[in-house]
Amino acid sequence: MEGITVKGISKRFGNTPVLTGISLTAAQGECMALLGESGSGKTTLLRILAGLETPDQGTLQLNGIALDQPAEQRPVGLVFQDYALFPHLTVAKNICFGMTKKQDKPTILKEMLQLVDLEGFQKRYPHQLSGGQQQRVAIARALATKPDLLLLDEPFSNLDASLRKQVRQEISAILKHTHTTSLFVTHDLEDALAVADKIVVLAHGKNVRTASPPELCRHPKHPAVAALLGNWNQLEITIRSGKVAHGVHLPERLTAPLKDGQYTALFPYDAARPSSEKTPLSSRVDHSFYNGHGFTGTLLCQESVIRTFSREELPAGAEVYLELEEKNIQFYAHE
Amino acid sequence: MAQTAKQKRFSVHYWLLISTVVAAFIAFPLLVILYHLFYEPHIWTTLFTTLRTGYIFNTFYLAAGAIFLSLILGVPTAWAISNYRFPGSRFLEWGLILPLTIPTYILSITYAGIFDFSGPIQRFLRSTYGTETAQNWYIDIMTPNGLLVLLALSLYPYVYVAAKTAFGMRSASYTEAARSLGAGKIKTFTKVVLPLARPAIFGGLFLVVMEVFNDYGAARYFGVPTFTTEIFRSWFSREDGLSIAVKLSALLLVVIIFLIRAERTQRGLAQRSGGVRLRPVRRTEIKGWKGILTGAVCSLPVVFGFAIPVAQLGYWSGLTVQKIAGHELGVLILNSCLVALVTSVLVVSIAVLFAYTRRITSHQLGHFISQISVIGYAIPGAVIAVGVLLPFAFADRQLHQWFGGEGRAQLWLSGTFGCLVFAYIVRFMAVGFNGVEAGFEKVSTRLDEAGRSLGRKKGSLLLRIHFPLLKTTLAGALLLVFVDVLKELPLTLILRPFGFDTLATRTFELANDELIAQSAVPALVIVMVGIMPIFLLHKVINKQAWKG
Repeated sequence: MEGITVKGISKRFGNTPVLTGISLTAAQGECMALLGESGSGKTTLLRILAGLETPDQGTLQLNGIALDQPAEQRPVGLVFQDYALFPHLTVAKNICFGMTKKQDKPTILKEMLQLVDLEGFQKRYPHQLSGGQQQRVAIARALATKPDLLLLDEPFSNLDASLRKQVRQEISAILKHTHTTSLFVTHDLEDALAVADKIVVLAHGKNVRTASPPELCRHPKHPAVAALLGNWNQLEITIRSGKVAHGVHLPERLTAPLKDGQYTALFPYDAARPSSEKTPLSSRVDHSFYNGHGFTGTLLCQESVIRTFSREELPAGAEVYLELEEKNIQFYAHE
Repeated sequence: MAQTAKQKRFSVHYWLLISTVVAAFIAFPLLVILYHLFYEPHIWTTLFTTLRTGYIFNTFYLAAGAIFLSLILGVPTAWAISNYRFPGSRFLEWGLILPLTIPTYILSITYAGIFDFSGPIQRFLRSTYGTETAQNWYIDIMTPNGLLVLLALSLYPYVYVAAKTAFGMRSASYTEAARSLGAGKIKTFTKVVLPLARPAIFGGLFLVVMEVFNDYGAARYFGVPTFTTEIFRSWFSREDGLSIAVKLSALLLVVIIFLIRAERTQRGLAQRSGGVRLRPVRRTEIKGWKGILTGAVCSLPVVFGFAIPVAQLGYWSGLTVQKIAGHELGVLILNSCLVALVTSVLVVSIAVLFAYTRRITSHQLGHFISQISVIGYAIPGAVIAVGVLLPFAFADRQLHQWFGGEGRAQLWLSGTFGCLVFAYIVRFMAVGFNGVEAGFEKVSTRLDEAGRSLGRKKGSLLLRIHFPLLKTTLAGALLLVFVDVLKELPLTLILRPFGFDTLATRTFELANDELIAQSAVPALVIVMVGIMPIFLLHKVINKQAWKG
């Protein structure tokens, strides 16, 4: 198969499992984001792909061939978070560093400088460049070896907000243009949404969700994904014979098909709306704040917290009835 | 998969293997001496029954006294420099290190000359107050106490540098917190500042004690028997001299190993940091006569430890330069530079090997190697010389038998240039290694990983990334080792090839032959070369300060 295939990768540091049974695939030319909070193991997975760490279990395949060589022999390019440009070499020498003797250095250098829009900068040293320019050199340096897979570690984290949007577009364009299979690590949802074709969410060393950006936002399906999305309510409930035995009493229409066990009910803030009529879900306002468009209220409902959006102010202590948009409620079963 | 993993491990093992072999060679002389603790036990009886014991008392008396005096000279000056600005403080900041450039034996010889009957003090007294008064005012400095003062005067910079760094690195937040909690200046100093700086100061004192143990020239010249002079004396004057010398060396080594343990523990304590961000201390200005007084007091160690002896050496050199200049001086400089250059290149190369091995492997052995390689700096030159000579002499005897020789063995290996250089490497490995390793630590491992992901092997990375980035560091390490070899006396005296004179040995010999004025010329050359690293270091530090 063309592209990258990761099968059952596990890795422990001492007694701490960092990655557990990670599998994923990205097709040739696809850009995939590894999204997760710090400590989720996403950077370790990237380093395993680059050959800088060895997995305890599992296999890697790139374009149908096993990827198990030492780092220096892998057809994989890596762009570091801090760029790791060699400070004693010029832009041109940095870009040419990884090229082999067989490669046509002047032509590729010119091509790369054009690609990352740095023509005329070849004689500068890294410290004479801005952060965004340094990053483009790092990308050019990795792409100059014509890798089959490009890895980027937190490519946007060192850039300030205004530059970030621009760089996302630039990188996206470069990757599309070279049609390189790529995989980048990020903790920022917006980065992932803006650049990736496919997003893999890692939590506690596990692959919890693989989806396209719109799919991920509509159906997080996992509490960790909902937490990353923000603006999603999470209710812990226990089901016994189709009814809520513990937690907020959700309508039986929803819970009836569920087997006995622990669940997390996931729904966006705006799927729980304050109602003018009396509903079975009564709650008390804990506090609320103005969010720029309306109010975000934090409500206490049967000892659980539910957040909601409201056009009107929600005074603390007021009683509010909630109406649930049932089609937007998803259940995640705990094992 | 298995194949490539094996290959990868092999390439790391390759570095580790070479490093281990080299480290084993470097550790060997010390192991030989430790082995002799238990070998030929009857020598211990001879040692304790026949030899004088005053030297043991002297050694510890000198060490204790040097600790006390170098604290007095080093800590207050470091405190003043790191907290205040006063007239001369900019110069004194590095000027206070200058006495370190004069080896203790040169300082002692010079002061002995100054206080001598024919020296400037007595001449001045005689011409002004007459012979009788002059004789009444005669001060004999060639006593244990005189030696003590001179040792402290030339070694206090170790304490000064350590204390100044500790005072300067400490975050201003700590003192401000103490002050805001109601502690006065004195309480802040004794309860917060001093305890925080204590491990560093202890490190400085450790070096002072090691140098006191190492000193041969000054003690010998002043006629004060110490451990080191006793090693020399028994060696050259007794039938069973070498056995006795080894036993003495072994005893001293045990003491030193204890001190090393203690120093490591203290250094461990220094790493407890509260995670407070470093905020440099703002130096307050002392104005008016108080400032001038502070400057004058702080410059006393520099005046007595550097300015006066260098002026005296300069004066003597002017008188005698014609006698020694020309061919003899040229040979001395050539010999010294040759041996120092060869040693420093080898030391820095081995240091790079060790530091890089440690960088690319997480194997315990890498750590162990770096620990072993630096131990030599704490061991007196005379002890190392004994440890090096034993296996070389043994090898000579074996070679002699091999070739069917009769009678006394030929000196194939011992007493050669190679033997001397090897001993220097054992002694000065730490000087090179510490600098080189610190340099490596400043290069982010991300650069190694970037290089590897771009297809470069480890050897190629060393040449193309680390060497260019570490050029200055390596040159600095080279220079420090060079200067240390140039100054070294006891080890050179024991191991030099027959008829091979260096600046250091010639200085000592001339002074011992009561040709003090003539000894000033080679002595002055050593001092002048020794100033170079301090001057360069000062420039580097200033540049960094300017950048930051």
